[in-house]
Amino acid sequence: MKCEDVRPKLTAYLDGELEGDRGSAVRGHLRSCEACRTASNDEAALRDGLRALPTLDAPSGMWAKIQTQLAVAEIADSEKPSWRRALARWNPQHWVTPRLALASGAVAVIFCVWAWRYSQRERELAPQTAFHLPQLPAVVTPPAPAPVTSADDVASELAAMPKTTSDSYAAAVAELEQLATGERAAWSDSQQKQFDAKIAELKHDIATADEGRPRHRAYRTLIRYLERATSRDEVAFADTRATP
Amino acid sequence: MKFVLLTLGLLAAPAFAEPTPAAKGEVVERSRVEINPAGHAFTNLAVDNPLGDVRVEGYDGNAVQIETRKHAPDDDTLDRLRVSLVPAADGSIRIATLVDNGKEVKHVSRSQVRIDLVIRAPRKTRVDAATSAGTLSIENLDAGGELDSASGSISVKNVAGELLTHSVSGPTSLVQVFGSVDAATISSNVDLDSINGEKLVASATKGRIAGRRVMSRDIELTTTDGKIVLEGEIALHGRLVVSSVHGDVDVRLRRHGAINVRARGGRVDLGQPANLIEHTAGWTVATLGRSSDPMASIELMSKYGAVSLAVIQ
Amino acid sequence: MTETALDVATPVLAEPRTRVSATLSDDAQLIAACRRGEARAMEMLYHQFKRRVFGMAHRIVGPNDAEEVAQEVFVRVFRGLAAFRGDSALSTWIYRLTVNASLSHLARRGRRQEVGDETLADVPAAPEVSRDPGLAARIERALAELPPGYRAILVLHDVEGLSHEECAAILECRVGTCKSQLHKARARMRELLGPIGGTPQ
Repeated sequence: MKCEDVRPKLTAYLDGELEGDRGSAVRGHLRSCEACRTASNDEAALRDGLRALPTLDAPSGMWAKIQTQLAVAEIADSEKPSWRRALARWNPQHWVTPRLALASGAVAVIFCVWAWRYSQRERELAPQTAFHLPQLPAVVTPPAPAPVTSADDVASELAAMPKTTSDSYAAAVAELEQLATGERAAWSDSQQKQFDAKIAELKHDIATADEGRPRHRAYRTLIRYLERATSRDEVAFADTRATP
Repeated sequence: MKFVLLTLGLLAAPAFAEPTPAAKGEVVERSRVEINPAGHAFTNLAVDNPLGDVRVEGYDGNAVQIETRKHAPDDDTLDRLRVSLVPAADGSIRIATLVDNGKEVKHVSRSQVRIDLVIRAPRKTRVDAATSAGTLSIENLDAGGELDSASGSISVKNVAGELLTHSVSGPTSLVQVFGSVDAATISSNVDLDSINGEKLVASATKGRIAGRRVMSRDIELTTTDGKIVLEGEIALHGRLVVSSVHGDVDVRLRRHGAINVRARGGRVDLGQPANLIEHTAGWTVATLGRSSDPMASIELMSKYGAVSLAVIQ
Repeated sequence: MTETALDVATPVLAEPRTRVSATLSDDAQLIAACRRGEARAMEMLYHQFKRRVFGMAHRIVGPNDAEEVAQEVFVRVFRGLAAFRGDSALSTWIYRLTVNASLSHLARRGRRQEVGDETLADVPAAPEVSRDPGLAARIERALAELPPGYRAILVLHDVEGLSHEECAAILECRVGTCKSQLHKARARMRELLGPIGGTPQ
């Protein structure tokens, strides 16, 4: 296959849509063609990058706001004359924005609606049945996770998480240290010495801590120290919390 | 009226008994377990869920009720999702989610699986919980705890006791907390509402801190770039230290005794006329109230931002 | 200390542990319950779709307006359920509402705020998801600079992982059109990003 034949097929190939020999023909070409391989890698990297974008969490207060808006729209509905309501039924996408002024009575009604919805939620969580775990249940251990076999399985992703978090902390430390380089010009020699000594000590704590929670804790201690030093010129170490 | 019907519907609404419908091409499994203590009550709940959300609610009962919801692209993967449960004789329970290796090596990415936990526990249970990108929320508990997340949000409501929260990039929101608090994030915001206790320490390296109705006795708020806005009360003999490198500091307080204020910033505005204002070595210092009254101390600093203080008696 | 895997122990649950695959009839039951105004059903529907709706809105209109748009979508969903005829899957309908609401919002807001939004530059990449945190941030920035139509198809197919068929159903176009739009959108992204460097196939 020639490059100009392969390039337009790259998208389909990477989407897994080229079946049988058409796919293997592309694959064969990629094996021997550096230029097409680079193009394919770029395309694949873009795809991986997009797929790996962080999952965004909806804000925690959003459901409550939606319920308010729905309640407001309900009230607005009920205040419309019946012919308008009938019309709205034919065109249900037309809704009243909550920015309209509310009659004061409507506010009280919203609270009633609210209270009922929330009290419903309280009752819901009672389980259908309770079962009593025997005093000493049979010893059943979930099988130990097998050693990591491939980079893109969830088990290995989970295993890699503590290190990734440590890396984030390390990046924050680097930024704060750079900030400190600017701020320290105003410190006295003895303050600078005290600072350097403390930083070295806290970094040693990080290096000797086990990866995972202990190391993250050590990072946070250093980060707090750097925040104090840069924002308050306070180089004396203060442990704000007893170690949990 | 449609509205009346809606209300009636809510009053009579049966609990939705159907299992959670799944998104297309997804398999969902839901299960519920209740654990009753034998002997003494549960005191400590440890939850480790890197695969989804954790929600813990306190309630008036003795049992721990755990609802798990697992999502996976197919049955085989669903089988790999495990929730392990370890109750101990000392009254603690450890819950963890994990993923086995499948019988055949069929790889799924983390974005394709999910385990969410909703737990009800006796109010006096201390909660130590960790998530990764999932939300972590606790409500109505009386023994504090430690909450850890990487990029998921942390949300606390109506909790008493000593509380420690830390997150890398998850927004942290603490509402109605009675007790000492230490909240830290790196690159998101900390929101505080109605905090009262001995100590409050909060830091957001690259985020903002906003506090309203904050009444703790000893308060320390620190940011590097983000703005700090605080509204609340300063206790008699209380201590407040707010500092930032680049962020503005905006504090509004109610006072009951006297306060001694030291402030330093790109621009300093101490608002109302004070008994005494002097400028020493870059600091603006003032005393408000009678020096014979119990004296609280306030220090507000921003290297490059504006500092303002408004005091109401 | 004894250890119990919840699934392996022998709980006796009143509700059988059911494994649910999405079928149109399950959608129908959820919709029916929501139409009856059952609070639990409505909340369940919300929780089932909140991440995707918010995520799509966020990536199309940006962080500042995402919540507002997502709220608008859910209000339309619950208000519009009465007229939903079930000729598409519930998810398709909801995502279509999301894309339309997001694109209209952008059109209303005007282009001046889109490109080079400072707040987008502050979006931190969740460290444990992307192998190269810098890349995620660059991708988010580049996404924000794409024309809205390209942004929508990329978000649906490459970010949210929906199939060509589902994208076509959501965007109400033919599968072929969908594929070619996707191709153009990716080409534009590559232009905006420059060299990425990738893992060898």
